[in-house]
Amino acid sequence: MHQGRKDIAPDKAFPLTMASPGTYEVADLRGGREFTGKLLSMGVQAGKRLELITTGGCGPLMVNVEGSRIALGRGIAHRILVRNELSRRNSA
Amino acid sequence: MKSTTQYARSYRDVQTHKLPTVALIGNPNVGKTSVFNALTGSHQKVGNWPGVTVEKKEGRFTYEGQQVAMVDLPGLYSLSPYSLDERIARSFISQEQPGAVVVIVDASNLERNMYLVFELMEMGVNLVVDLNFMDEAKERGIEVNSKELSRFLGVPVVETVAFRRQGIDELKKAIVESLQAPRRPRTFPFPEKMEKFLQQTEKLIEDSCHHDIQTSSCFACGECAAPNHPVIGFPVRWVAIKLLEGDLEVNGNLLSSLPEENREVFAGHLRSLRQAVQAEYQEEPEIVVAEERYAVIHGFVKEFFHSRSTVSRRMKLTDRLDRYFCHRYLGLPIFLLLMWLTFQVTFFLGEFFEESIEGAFEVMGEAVITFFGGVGIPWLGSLLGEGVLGGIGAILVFLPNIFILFLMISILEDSGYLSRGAFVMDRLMHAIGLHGKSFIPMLLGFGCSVPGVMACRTLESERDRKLTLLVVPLMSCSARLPIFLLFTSLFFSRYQGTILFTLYLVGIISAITVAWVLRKTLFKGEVAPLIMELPIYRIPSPKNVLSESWRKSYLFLRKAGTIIFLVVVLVWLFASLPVGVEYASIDSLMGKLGEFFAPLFRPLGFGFWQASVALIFGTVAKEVVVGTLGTLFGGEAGLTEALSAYFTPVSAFSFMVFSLLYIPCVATLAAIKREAGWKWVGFAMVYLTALAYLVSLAVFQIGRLLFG
Repeated sequence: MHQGRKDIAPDKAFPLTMASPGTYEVADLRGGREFTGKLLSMGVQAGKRLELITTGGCGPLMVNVEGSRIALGRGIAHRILVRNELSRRNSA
Repeated sequence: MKSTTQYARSYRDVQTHKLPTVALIGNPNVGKTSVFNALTGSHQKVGNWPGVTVEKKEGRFTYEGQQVAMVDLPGLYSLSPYSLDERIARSFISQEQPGAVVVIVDASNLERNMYLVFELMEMGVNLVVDLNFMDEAKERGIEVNSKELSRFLGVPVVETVAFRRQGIDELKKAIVESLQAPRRPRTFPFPEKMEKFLQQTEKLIEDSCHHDIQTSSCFACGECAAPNHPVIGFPVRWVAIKLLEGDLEVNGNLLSSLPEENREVFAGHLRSLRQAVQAEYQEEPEIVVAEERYAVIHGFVKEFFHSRSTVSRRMKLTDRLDRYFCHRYLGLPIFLLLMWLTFQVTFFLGEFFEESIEGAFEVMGEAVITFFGGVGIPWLGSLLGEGVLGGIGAILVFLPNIFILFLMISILEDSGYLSRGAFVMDRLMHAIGLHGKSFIPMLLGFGCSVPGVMACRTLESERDRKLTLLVVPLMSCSARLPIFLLFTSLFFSRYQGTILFTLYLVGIISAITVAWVLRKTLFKGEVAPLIMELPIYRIPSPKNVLSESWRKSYLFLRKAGTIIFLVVVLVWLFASLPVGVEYASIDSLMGKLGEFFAPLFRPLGFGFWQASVALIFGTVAKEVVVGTLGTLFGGEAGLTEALSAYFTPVSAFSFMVFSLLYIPCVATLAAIKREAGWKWVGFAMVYLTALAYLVSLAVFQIGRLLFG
C-alpha cells in the first residue's frame, strides 16, 4: 500500500489536505476548542494512526481512525496536521 | 439523608405513579435504534411523525412483571453542550433524572465509544453498558470479558447483537435489576497532573459551599454523606471537571447557588486554576480535560481488550465499495443514478397497484350512491359516495407509491449508503451555501417535510440549521405526489417519468437558488465544516426496512383517515350549501370562495374557481388538493374528464409547479415553528407563496408562447 508522501521530510507535519491516500500519524489539531473537542470525541487525536482513504478532489476527505470511517470537510482536514507514519517507526 | 433533588424526584414518582424511566444513549451508528426496537417491540410512540432518531422516541417493555418506560436519546459522541442533540441529551439526563441510563457501545470500536461511557460515569448516573455488535467485534479479533469489565467499571455490562435480537433478554434483566438496586459507577483517577488540578477544584467547591451556612443539607457539613452536590444534584467531582472545562451552564448554576458575596471570590479562584492548567499544558483547559480523559481510556482499553486488530470481512467490503461510491469523479454520477432508480422503481411498481385501487373505489362509490338513492336519502349517498369515497379514494390510490418510496429510502438508510450521499453531496451543498449534512433532511423531505425539518437538528450551526429547514419544504414530499401523478397521467402520459423528474428538479433547483440567495443575504457567513461518521455497509434487514416503511406509510394513512377525511367532508359541505344548489356548482359556497380568488390565478393558467378551492384547502395537507378536486368533480371517473376539459398541458404543468412550491402543509409549519419559531414560519409562508407565484407565472407565460 501507498505509504504517504515521500517528498516531505520524515518528521515534518503537514495538513491532511496535502496528503495522498495512505497511512499517517496525527501530529496536531489546529483549531478552536469546539473543533478540537469534536474531533477528540470522535477519536481523532494527536498520536493516533489515521488512514486516508479518499482525497475527494475538492470535496470532503474520508479517513479511517480505529476502524471507524469519518468524513471530513476540507476546512477541517486542513487543520489536522499529520506526519508520515514511517517516521515514527524509524525513530522507534 | 437524601439530597434535595433526589427527594423531589421520588416524591414526584409517587405522586404520579410514573413508570421508572430508562434513557437509551450512544454514539451514532452503534445500532441504537435496533436495540430500542428489540427492547420495546411494537410498544412505541414516536412523536407524531415519521423520521430517523431525531424526535423523542418513547417505548416500554415488561420484564418479569416490572414495566419500564424507555426514552431514546439522540445519537452523540460526547456530552459537550455544542450541538442541539448533545444539549437535548444532557438536559434530559440532568433534568428528568431517568432511573437508569443504558449506554450502547460498539464493541468493535471500544476506545472511541468509551469516551461517552466515561462522561456518563463521571455524572454518577445509574448506568448499564450494552456492548453491541459483538459479532463484528469477534470477527475483528476483539475479545471482551464483560464480567471483568463490569467489575472494573462498577456497572452492569451486557453483550448483544441487537440486529439479530441476541442478548436482549439479558439486557432487559440488567435494566430491571439496576432500577431495583441503583449503583454508582466507579470513579476513575485522571493522570496525576490533571488529578491535582481536579482535587483543587473539588476543594474549592467544597469550601465555598461550606461557607454557605444557610444550606443545612450541604454535603460538607458532615451531616450527610451524599457525595452529590446539593444544588446541582451530580457528583462534586463532575462539577469540578465541568468547571475546569469552562462549562457555562454548570458554572452559572454553581455561581447562583453561592451567596452573593462569595461569588466573585469563587470565580477568581476558578479563573486562576484554569489559567494554571492552561500554563501547564499550553492548551485550552477544555481540550486538556478531553485529552486526559482519552489517556485514561486508552490505558484502560489496552489493559482490558486484547485485539488482534484484524480487519473484518465487512470492513474490507466497505473499503471496496467506498472506493466507487465515494470516488472523486464516480461518486456523484453513482449517487444520481441511485436516486433516479429510486424514483423509477417507486413509480413503476406503484403503477401496478394504482389501477386496482382506483377501480375498487369507483365501484364502491357507485354502489353507495345507488343504494342510498334507492332508500330515498340521496344526500347521504352523495356525501359518502362523491365526498368521502371520492376524496379519500383519490388519495389512497397513491399509497403504494408512498410505501415504495419510504421502502427505498429505508433500504438506502439501513445499508449505510445514505450518509455517503451526504459525503458525495458535500461539495455541491457547500457551493450553494448548505452543509453536506443538509442533504439528509432534504432527502427525507422527499418522503415528508416534517421529519425533514426535524432532521435539521443534526446540523450544529444555527445558521445552517435555519437555512436548511427553510428550503426543506421545496423538496417535493410524497403528499404532493398524488397531484403530480394525477396530472401527468392525464396530460403527459407518454413522458410521465420525465415530467415527474422535471418537477422534482424544479423543487431542487428552487431550493438551491433560495439557499444561495439567503446565504448571501440573511444568513451571511461560512458554512460549518463537515465532520460525520460513515457507518459500515450492512445488508438491510428486511424486517427493519419493512416495519419502518410501514410505520411511515401508516402515518400517511392515518392522516388520510383523520385530517384529510375532515377536510374532505368540509369540502363536500361547502360544495353542497346553501341547500338546493347543484352539487359543487359555482353557486355553492365553495364556488363563491373559489371565484373570489380565481382571478389571482388567471395569469398562471388556472383561473377557475375549482383550482383555487383545491389550493386553499391544500394548505391543510397537500394530498387534499387531489381530494378536493376529486370531490368537486365527482370522484375518480368524473375527475379525468373534467380536468381534461379545464386544463391544457401547459396550465397543468403550471398548476403542478404552484402546488409544489406554495405554502407547505400545516404539519410542516408546526414543525418549523417548533424548530425555529413563529418568525420563520411567517417568513416561509411569504417567500414560498411568492416563489410559487413567480415560477408558475414564468412557466405558464413562457410555455404558452412556446407551445401555443
